[in-house]
Amino acid sequence: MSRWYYLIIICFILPIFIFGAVSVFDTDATISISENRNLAKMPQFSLESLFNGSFTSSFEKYFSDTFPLREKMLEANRNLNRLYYFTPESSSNDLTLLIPQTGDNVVSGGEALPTDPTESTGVSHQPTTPSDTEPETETTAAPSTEETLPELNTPEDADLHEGSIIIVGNRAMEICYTNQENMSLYATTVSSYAEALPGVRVISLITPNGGEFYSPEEYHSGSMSQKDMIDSVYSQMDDSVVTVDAYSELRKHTDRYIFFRTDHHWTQLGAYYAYTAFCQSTGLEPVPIEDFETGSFEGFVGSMYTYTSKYPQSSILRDNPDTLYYYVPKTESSAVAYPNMEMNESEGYKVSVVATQINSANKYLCFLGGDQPLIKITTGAGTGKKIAVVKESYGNAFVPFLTNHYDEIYVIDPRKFYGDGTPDMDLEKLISENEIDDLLVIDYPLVVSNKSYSKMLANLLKEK
Amino acid sequence: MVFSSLLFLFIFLPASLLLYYICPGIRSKNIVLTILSLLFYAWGEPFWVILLIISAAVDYTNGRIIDKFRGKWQAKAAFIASLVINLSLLGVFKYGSFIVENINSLTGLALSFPLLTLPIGISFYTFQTMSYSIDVYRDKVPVQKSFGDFLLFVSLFPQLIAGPILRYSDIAAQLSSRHTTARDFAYGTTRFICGLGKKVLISNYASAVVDTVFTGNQLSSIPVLQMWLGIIMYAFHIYFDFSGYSDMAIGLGAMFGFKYTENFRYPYISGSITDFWRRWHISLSSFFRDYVYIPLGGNRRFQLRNMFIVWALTGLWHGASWNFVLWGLYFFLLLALEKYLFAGILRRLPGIIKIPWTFFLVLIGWVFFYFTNTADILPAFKSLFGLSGNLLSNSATRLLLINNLPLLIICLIGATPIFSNIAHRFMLDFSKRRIPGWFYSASAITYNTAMLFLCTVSLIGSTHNPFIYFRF
Repeated sequence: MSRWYYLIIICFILPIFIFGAVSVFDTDATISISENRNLAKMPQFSLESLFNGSFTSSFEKYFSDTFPLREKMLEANRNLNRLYYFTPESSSNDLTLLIPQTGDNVVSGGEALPTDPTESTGVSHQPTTPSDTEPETETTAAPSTEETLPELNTPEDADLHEGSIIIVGNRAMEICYTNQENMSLYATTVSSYAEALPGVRVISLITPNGGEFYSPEEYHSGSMSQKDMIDSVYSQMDDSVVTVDAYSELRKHTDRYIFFRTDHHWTQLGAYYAYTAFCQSTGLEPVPIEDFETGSFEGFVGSMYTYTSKYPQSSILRDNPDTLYYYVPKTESSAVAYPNMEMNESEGYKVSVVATQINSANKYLCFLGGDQPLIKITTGAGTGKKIAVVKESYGNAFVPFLTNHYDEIYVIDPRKFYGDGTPDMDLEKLISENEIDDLLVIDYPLVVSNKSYSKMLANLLKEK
Repeated sequence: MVFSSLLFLFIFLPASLLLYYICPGIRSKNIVLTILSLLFYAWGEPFWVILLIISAAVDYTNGRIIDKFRGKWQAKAAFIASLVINLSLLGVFKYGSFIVENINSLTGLALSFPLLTLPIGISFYTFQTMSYSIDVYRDKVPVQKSFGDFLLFVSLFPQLIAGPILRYSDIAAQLSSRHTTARDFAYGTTRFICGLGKKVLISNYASAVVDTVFTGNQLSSIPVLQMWLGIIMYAFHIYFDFSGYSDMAIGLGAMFGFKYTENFRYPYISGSITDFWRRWHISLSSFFRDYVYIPLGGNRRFQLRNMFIVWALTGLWHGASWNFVLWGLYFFLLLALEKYLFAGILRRLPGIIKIPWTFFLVLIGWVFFYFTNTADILPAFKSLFGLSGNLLSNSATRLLLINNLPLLIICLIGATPIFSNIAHRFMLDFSKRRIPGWFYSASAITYNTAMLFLCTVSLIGSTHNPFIYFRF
C-alpha cells in the first residue's frame, strides 16, 4: 500500500528538484521581450545590502527573473489571468482593466523598457541603471519602520500607490490620485528654486496626461481632476515663479494625436502644444509646426503595455501599437550627455536631440537618448540666452523645441542625482557658473503628486 | 523567507528535504533542521536572528533553573524573569514606539523612541518560549535538557514566521523521536500544496482587489457596493492567507515528521461568534485561554473582566495600533452579548440565517482590522452604508465586480469544507481499500502537480505577494 504513497512523494519531489537544479544553472536571460523590460541582474553582495534586506529581496527578484521556462510561464500566467481578471466579450469602448500603479513605476518612468545593445543612435551609451535601484534608495532614505521592510504591500504604504492604470478600448492611461500634502511639497520645492536663484527666471510647467482627457468622467473629476490639481499647485507657488498653462493648449487639441495609447508619455505633438503655451508665458515666438521636418517610427508599444502585459486585457495594446512622429529641430544643435555635473570631456558622449533612426523597442528614447543625468545642448540659435531644464521623461520630447530660443540648454534629471551612489548636483553652482537665465521645471501629474520625486527635486539644491 | 516564493519552493525546500533525509540519526537530523531554520529566518531577518537565539537561550536557561530549584525562590525568580524578558522583548520591539507615542500625546511630552523594525515572527516565538517556561513552572511538561532540541522547537521553520503557535507539550516527544511514514509525507505534500494554493491562487488575488478598491480613493467617495466588495475580499484575503500558511506549516511539518495541531477550521461557516473563535487561529485563542483567561479566574470569578482583558490583549497582539484593540473589544462585546443574551436564540436559529449573520458580524470586524488609522474607521462605515453621499456603484465598481466574479466564487467555495470533506473521504476509502491504489495515487499526483504548476506560474507573473504578518 505504501508504494502508492511513495509514488505521490516522488511526483512531488521530482519537479521541485529538477526545476530547482535547472534554475541554478540557467541564469543567462537578460531581457524579457514579452514584458518589454530588462530582467533583474544578480545583485552585488555586501554586508550592508545583506543587513538592510536589499540583497535578499534583489536576489529573489533575480531568481524569479531567470527562472527556467519563464517566458512560457508568463504566457500561461496571462491565460490564468483571464480567470482572475475576467472580462466577458465587451464592446471596444468599455473600461476593461483597472490596476494600481505603483510609485516606483512612476518615478523610474520609462526606464523599465529595454534598450537594445546594438542600436546606433547614441542610446547605446546609456548607463545601465536598473530601475529596481530606485525603490531601494527610497527605502533606505525613508524614515518610517514599515518602509524599511522591502517587498511588503501594506495599506499604510501611502507612497506606494500613486494612482491606477486603466484600459479603455485600445487606450491605456495612468490615473493620478491627488494628495494635498504631496502637491504642497512640490509647490514649495519649486518655489524654493526661485528663492535660491535670484535673477533667474523660474518657470513651472505641469502637464496633464492622457488620463485627464480620455478616461471616463469619474477618473478625471473630484480628487482625480488634474486641472484642479495643476491650478492648486500653481496657486501655491511663489509669485516670482512663471507658471505655464499647458493644460488649455492641450485641451484645445484633444482631437489630435497628443498622447500615446500604449505609453504613458505625450507625443511630440502634445509637447509642441505645451511649447506654444510656454512661449506665451515667457514672451517667445513659437516656431510654426509646419516649419519642422518630420518623420515617424511605426510599431511603438510602450510602457503602459509593459505595466499591463500580465493581464489578458492588454493584448489590445500590443495589437494596436502607436506611431511616434518626431519633429527635427530647425536649429543646428549638438547634445552631449554627462554622468555628473563636472561635465568632463572624457566622460561625455554625444546623444541626438531627436534621433531619426532607432532600433530600440522604446521609440521614445529617440528624444535626447532617453533619461540622462545631465545633457548640455549647444545650438546655433544665437539669442544669447541660456536655460536649464529640470525634468522627468515628459521633458525629453519637449526640450528639442527649445533649441530655437536658447544658445545653451542644460537638461537635468533629478532622479539620477538622488540616493546612495549617485553623483552630486548643485543646481545653484551649475546655473551661476554657466550664467543661465531661465530655469524650467517640467513634470507630469504622477510625479507632482509623488513625495519621493519632490524630495529628488529638493535634493538638487545644496544647503549653504 | 516566505513559503510562497520561488526560492523557497525550488531551492530551499528540495535542499532541506535532501539534507534532512541523508542525515542518519535523529541527532544529526535535528541539527540540520535547526541550521536550516535559522538560515530560513536569517534570509528575511539577517540581524534579528540573534534575538531569536537569545530568546531561546533565556527560556532554556530559565527552564533549567525552574527545574533544578523546583519549589524554591530561585524557581519563582526564573519564572518571573522569563515573563519579564519575553514581555519586554515584545514591549520594546513591538509596542515601544506605540507606547511612547501615546504617552506623548497624553502628556504633551516629546519623548523619542529609537526606530526599531519589528523582527518577523517575534510574537509567535516569544509566545512559544514563554508558554514553555510557564508550563515547566507549573510542572506540566518535563524540562528540556538539550539546548539544541529547545532551539529546534523555537526556530522550526515550518511554523516560525506565521504560526501556528506551538505548545511545547505538543511537540516535546517529537523532538527526540519521530518517525516519518510515507503516508505522513504524502499527506504533507498535498496539505502543503493546498496551503500554497490558498495563498498564491486565492489570497494574493483577493488582496490585489482590496488594494484597488481602497487605495488612492477618498473613502467617502467609494461607492457602497465597491466598499462591500473590498471588505469581503479583505475577509477572504486574510483567511486564505492565514489558513494557507497554517496548512503549509502543517504540511511541511508532516514532511519532516512533526504533527502540528489544526489552526483553522472553516471559520466562515461559523454559526455564532463564539463558534467563530473556536475555528479562527485556534492556537492563539487557546493560548490566551490557557495563559490569561483561566489564570485570571476564567468563568468562575469576574468573568466579564477576564473576557475584556483577554480580548483587548488579543486585539493588541495583532499589531501595535488602537484599531486592533477596537477590533478585539468589538469581539468582546459580541461574545458577551452572545453569552448573556442571545445564546438561546442563536441555538434555535437555522444555519441559513446564523451563518450569514455571523459572517456579516465578522466582516464588520474586519473593517476595524483593515483600517489601521483609526480616523478612517468611521468614514469607512459611513461609506459602507451609503451615509457619506457616495454612489451605490459606478463604472469602476461594475468592472471590479465583473473582473472578480470567478475569484469571488472560488473564495466562497474554498471557505467551506466541501473539498476537504471529499479529500478526507477519499483518503479513508483508500486506507480501507475501497478504491484502488493507482486511482488514489493518480488523483493526488494530478492535484499536486496541477496546483504546483499554477502556483509557480502565478508567482512568476506575480505583481502582488504580500506578507501580512509583519505586524504580529
